[in-house]
Amino acid sequence: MFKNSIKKVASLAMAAGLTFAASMGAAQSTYPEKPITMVIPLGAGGSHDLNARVITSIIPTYLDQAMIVRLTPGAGGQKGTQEVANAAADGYTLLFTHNYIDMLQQHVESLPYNPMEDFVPVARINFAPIAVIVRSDSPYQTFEELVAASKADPGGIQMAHSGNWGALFVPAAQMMKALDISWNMVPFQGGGPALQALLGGDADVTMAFPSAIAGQLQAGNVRVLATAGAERIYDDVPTFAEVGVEGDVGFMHRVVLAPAGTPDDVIETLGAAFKSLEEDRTFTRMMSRLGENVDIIDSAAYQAMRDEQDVAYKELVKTLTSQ
Amino acid sequence: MLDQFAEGFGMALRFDTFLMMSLGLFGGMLVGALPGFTTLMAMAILLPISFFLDPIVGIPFLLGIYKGGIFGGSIPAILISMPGTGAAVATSRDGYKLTQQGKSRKALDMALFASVFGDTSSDIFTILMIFPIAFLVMQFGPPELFAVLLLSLVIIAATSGSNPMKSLVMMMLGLWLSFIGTDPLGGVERFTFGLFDLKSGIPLLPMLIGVFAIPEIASVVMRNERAKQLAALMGERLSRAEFRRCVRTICRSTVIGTAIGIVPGLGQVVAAMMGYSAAKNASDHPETFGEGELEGVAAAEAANNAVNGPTMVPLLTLGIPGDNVTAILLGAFVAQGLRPGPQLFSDQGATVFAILVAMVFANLLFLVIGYLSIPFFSRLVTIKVSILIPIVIMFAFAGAYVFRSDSVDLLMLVVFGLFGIIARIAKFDVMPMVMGFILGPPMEYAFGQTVAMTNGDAFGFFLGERWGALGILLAIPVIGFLLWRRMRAVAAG
Amino acid sequence: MKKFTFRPTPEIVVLVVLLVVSLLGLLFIDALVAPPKLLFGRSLTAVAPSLFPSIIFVGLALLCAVLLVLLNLQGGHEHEASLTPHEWRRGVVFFGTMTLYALTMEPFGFLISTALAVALLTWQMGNQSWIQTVLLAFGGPILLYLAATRLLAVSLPELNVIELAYARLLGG
Repeated sequence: MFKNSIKKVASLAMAAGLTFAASMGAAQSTYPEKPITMVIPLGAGGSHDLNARVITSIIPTYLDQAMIVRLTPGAGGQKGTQEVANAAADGYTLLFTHNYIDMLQQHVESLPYNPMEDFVPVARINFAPIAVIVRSDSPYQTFEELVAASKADPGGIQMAHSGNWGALFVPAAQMMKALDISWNMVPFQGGGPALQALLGGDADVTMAFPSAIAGQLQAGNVRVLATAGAERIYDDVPTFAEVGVEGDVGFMHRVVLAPAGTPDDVIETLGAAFKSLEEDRTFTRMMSRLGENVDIIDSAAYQAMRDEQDVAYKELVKTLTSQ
Repeated sequence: MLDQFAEGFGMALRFDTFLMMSLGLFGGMLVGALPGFTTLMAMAILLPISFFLDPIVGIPFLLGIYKGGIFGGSIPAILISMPGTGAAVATSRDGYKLTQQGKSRKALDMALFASVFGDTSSDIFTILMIFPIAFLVMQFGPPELFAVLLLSLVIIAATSGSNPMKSLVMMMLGLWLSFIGTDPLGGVERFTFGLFDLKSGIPLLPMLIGVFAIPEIASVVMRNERAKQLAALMGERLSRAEFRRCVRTICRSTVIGTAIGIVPGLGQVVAAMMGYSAAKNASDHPETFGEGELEGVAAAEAANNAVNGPTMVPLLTLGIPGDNVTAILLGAFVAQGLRPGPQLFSDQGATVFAILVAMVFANLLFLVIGYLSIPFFSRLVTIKVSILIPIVIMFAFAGAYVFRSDSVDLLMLVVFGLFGIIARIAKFDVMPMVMGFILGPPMEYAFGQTVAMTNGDAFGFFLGERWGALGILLAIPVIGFLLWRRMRAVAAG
Repeated sequence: MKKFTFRPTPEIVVLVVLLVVSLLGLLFIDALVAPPKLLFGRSLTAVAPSLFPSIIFVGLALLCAVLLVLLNLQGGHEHEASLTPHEWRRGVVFFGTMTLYALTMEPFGFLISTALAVALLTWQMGNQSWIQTVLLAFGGPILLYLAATRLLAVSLPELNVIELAYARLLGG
């Protein structure tokens, strides 16, 4: 009796297996056939995560397949990055990261992968310039006053940053080097806590992205002393170049990468889908609500930027950590 | 302000708001009941849906998921001693013992009532006192955080388990385990022995499941071959008398949880443990705590839910999220065109009040939803062990994997399971170890920040600016000693 | 003179191990903890990465030593009923199954590894019915996998073959 039921089950399983196998053989390979995974090497809820959620909720209309976010935080971004570096280069696993993790980290730590060789860019989604801010009741009305006070009291002014070699730290270090001043760098777990420290009086100066401080500016709680970029963001606030900090300082680029070796037509399909986001009204509306801009750059163009960043960051780290 | 509140109140009374909140609460509870499949993930996934809903519907929906999830996490903690988050650890203590005594339904009922009470009270308190709370939040910085965390660890070591010194040993072990990986301040490697897999440290969830759930399951597998079920029955409902006995504890825990919610950076874990420890200390029969004392469940649950109200304050008044959950809520707010921050109440006050009012209603809705769902859950433990155990293991492993998408975590799960069994045999309590592991990194980070802030002049810094933190630091040895003495007296007498 | 018995109860063994580990840790701390990085010649962090670990090691060593002395002075403990060999065997089989599960999930995919583990576990717990075993071993993981990946949008490891089969099953 037992034997009979075993036989039955076994033959059923075989039949099922064969059916599946047969049906797969007839498949055509038009990318994408199944949902794509977008790995984020950072924690949940950050601005990166929010950007990704908006992207993945709109892009399925252009790809005909879902795009799923997979958060893989750890080791300052290395965990998620390594996962994608080791993933199959078939276009079903992508990495959504930013330039500091992508091009800077390799010069500060020994990584188990090579960002230049193991990854190829798909598209840059947007970029954000950073701004130097103080409380509105602080004695520094202009950037020059801040610099003068810093020179008079080396290491006395507290600068809150979001973590070593992060988006707030690097511009600050570049500034300290360019202007020959020294701040006391106090770490915080991200831009939010750093801003809170400034508002609470635990720090004298910090940096932030304009989207994060819009409300505070309107309420008159903070004052912007300088912003990154070639043009002024706020009419009466000078740019970094104007106050003596030259070069590519203070930009965070959010970019989608794919493992090296991904077929060109796959990259093209993905790139085209991302490019169409620029025209999508819902997408631009949501991004503007998040305070982010939309400036899609394709694979080749961003690769050129990566090459520049590689050289620049190597120099930067060398000068900052020598002495 | 008052007319905005009235307007908001009216706005919240919508059928679709209540409907979506109920869906969120129920769904959140189910997701929260699966360790590893965090409510944070559920919220993040459903966030885009909220983009396309009305703000009065979408945001309460997300809030519903969140609140349902917190209670959901208590369900496996109570039923199979599998806490999915640090906050549920204290509940699993007494909760699982109650399940073993056939009182799983009472335990779940108590967890529900305590949670709802704590949450509702703290939400109402927050609504009434938003701006004073915002002011208080601003007073806390790294030195205060460090002092409070150290105090919490001392209290936990002194009051959990029977032997404070052994608890302290386990806590230090947990602290050391938390050091493995990358140092939170400088990003250098510690104790990784060159293994990349250890670089991001030991993951929490596999440790929790391994150390709490696996020994219990192993115990059933090894010893109770004859037993057909995990628990003979699910038991009766919580009786009025039993609830009334715990009202004082619940109130105390609510106050503790709310206070802890005001200090940025502490969170539900600290709240649950402090509520539990305070209840144990105030009780005249502390030895029953940990052996199936309903009051223990009530204390932990009320506290860890009371944290939620004040946590929203920095988000609403400054636009700065305090943790991952509020960060997702920030995204939801912003995508809806609401701008959390100083201008929020003057520009869009009515909408915000509507959302806050909906939050309070969510708790009451949840009382009904939870109460109706509990019989189903508590009956689960009466399934045959030959079916229940494999399913539990499957969920445990799936959850451990999903936590970080890393199969190394499965091995960690097994290793910590072994560790939990060894700790049991050697009569060491693992709860202090887990607490040391969870609270170690933020404490070290706060300490590093504090030292950076002192800029070399620690004495002047503390005396001049941060005497609050200094006061707490000086009080720690005193409090520790008093607690130790009391616990010793109770153990002897 | 108090009798100084040395009974290697599990408690004592654990304490000794911890004592030895913490002493070793202290000795070799420089090898175990990387030195902090520099910025402008100064350390990048205000607190050295080895500070807290050193404190913990010292504390652990002291506490373990004190506890060992105290426990020895207190004398023997009641001999608790230890596990029978039969129970030990069941424990070993249980852990063996779990280790197998942990090692096979990624290479074999969720469905196969879970089916194997579930079958072994339910058999160990006394399930004699083939139908129940098969239903549990296959139905369980399939349902959980579909719910996890389709409803909760998380990913579980799975063989490409099986994943495509799922996709086809649900209408691609």
